[in-house]
Amino acid sequence: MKKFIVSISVALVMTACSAGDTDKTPEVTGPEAVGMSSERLTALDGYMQRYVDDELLAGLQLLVSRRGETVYFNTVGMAEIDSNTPMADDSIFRIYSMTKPITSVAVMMMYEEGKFLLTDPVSKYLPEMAKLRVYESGEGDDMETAPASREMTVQDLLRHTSGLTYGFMGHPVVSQYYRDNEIHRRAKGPDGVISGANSLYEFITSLSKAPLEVDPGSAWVYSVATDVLGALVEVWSGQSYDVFLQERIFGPLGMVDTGFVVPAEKLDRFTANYASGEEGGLIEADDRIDTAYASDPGMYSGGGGLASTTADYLRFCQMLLNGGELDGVRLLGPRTVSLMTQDHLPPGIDMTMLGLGRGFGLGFDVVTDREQSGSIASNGTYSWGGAASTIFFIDPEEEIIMIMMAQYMPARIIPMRPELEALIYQAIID
Amino acid sequence: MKSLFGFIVGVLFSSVAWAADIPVTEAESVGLSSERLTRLGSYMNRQVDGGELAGMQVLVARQGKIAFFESVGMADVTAKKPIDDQTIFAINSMTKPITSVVTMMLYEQGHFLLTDPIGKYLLELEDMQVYVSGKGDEVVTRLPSRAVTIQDLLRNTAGMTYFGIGQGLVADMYGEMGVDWRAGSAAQYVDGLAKVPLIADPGTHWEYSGTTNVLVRLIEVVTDGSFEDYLYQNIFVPLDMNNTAHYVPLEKASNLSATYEKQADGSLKQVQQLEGAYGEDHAFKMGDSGMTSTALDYFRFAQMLLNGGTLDGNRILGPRTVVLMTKDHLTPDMTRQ
Repeated sequence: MKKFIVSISVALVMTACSAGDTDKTPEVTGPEAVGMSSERLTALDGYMQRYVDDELLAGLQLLVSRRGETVYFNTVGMAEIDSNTPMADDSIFRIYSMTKPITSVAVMMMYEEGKFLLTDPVSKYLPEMAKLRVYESGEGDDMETAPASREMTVQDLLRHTSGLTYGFMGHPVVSQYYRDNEIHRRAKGPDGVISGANSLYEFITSLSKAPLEVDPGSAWVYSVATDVLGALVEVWSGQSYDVFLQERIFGPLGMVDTGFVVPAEKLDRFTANYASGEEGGLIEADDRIDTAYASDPGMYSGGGGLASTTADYLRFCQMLLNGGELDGVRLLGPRTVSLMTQDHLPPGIDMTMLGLGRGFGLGFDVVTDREQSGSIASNGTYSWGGAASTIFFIDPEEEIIMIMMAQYMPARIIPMRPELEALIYQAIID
Repeated sequence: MKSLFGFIVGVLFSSVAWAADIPVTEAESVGLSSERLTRLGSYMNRQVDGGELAGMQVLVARQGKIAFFESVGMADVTAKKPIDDQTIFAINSMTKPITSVVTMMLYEQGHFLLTDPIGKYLLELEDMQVYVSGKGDEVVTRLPSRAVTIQDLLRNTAGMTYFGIGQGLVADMYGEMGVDWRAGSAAQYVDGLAKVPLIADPGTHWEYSGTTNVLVRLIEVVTDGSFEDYLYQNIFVPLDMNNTAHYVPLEKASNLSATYEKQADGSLKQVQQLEGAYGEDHAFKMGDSGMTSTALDYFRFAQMLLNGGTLDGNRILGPRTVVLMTKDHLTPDMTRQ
């Protein structure tokens, strides 16, 4: 076996890692054994370094796996620039919306147990969500709304056709309503003021009073829907959402560094979050130690609350690529994974946020037409990203998993995903 | 040549015969019938005897082996020079696939995305307008619905056209502005193109055009070098295409086939191809035309593609890139010219 451990940035890593931590470093296999060229994969080295040298990212980590073997794993740059802390192979990242696929898996585990149907109205389980109204015109006290033409279903929540929106994007008036009423998880705003819901219950209560941006089923709108799904999992399982994830997903899959809280003993592995300064360069947006992730968030956000590592997220992705099972632990049946990774958007609804040739499944975007997407990942490739520039994709046809971790907002996903695809797919040689 | 087949069949354990450096394999060893392939020879003879062509050459390969290679008629009627294994041809638009391969080699190196607007790299093309009406000083244009992308340039949906092939006032403007082989360089071609409006919104209309010349300029900009050098070092040398270039060197000039045009009376008349285009002094090394090559050289290029981007251990492209290139990138709603 031509197995060896990569040590790209290991020489620089002097942070306190326990002996057990080093075992979690993904082991890299000779790429040629799984049809990839190690020589052509080196193009990724320069690509990653450019993002750091150009001060677009403080640091980044990239893992490429094929047929269950890690063929590329590299870490460059800093976890925190000010404290001169290099990004490490076992760094912990805010994965934001990469929480959504995990929540979608949790939901489908409940589906497989017969707890609900995808076509069930959400209000059947969260009565507050009944009789929602859709925004029509005006704002503030003059806001006009109309009854929704139908109730949102669980499927709507999974594929983002619920009519819900987000406070930081979407229709100006409706998203302003979300901001004014703190319809989001607890977070520190740009002004330094902490706002947001203290529990999923509080969140659902305020959300159920908000107008919908559009009629359920009429358009793809990115939204807090996946936070609602976390609340539904609590109803169906009778467990707190954080406990459910730990007992049913993270524990069984061996995702040892994934959770809503980064515990004190792991905070030294956490990574600072960055934004652009007014005159370019990078400014720290969230500290590595003095961070909200160090304490219980109150509201367990299924749409964006988790912190994780590349090694952990790889185990989650490999479970999906394997059709729901990893190392003898089955979370989902293969037909359920197949159902989740098909395009679920009704005819006439486009998912143009990521460009042409894309659809949306139950928790993932799906490549439906590679040529129109203008990129090279196979049809059927499913993926998502996080607000701090984390991205993953899974290509079932090529059996490829890609995970990229970085901490920079707003996300650099739009150019980086197809850029990484070009550099990874050109290295396939079989 | 025809007797060659009989010869090969008679030699056991030797599947390759050499005729002027062209290895021709026994057709049957690659699942072809040498007897039925003779129909190709007859077809070629009919074309030449019937006066459709002065001469022609056909190469057929299967499973990586050349199974048929024949030449009929004249490379130069006046000089009484027959087409043979050494003949060099003006390949005109067969230049385009070579330019496209170079473009995709740079895509593989991460220089750009197919969805990138060309104006990101060629600032001259940042503000292209779409033709609405009028001519001369009265031309009215509007903003396009979206920018021209590199993918548009590769699949001919940029909204660009050709002088002499395209129709209408915009195509005429290409002629007036010299946006064709007369441009002094790819940079000049792009400069001229920037002054001509698009005929349609990018991505809505397929029309044959000189977009591969724009790709030449892109190649020059991202490699910070000449198209000619890039081709030589990264395609012609690795693929051993020794007789392919933008010009025919003096020592090979006698191998260049003349080009003929059918006259109204049915006769063939020798014509000048792209005046001066094959001399070393033609500065504009074009991406849409202008290359000369041989059947064997182009076979090596084609075999590289069929092999998924590699030939004799030299990888030019990754196999998935070749797959991506050879899928239909058009949609049913696009109009076609």
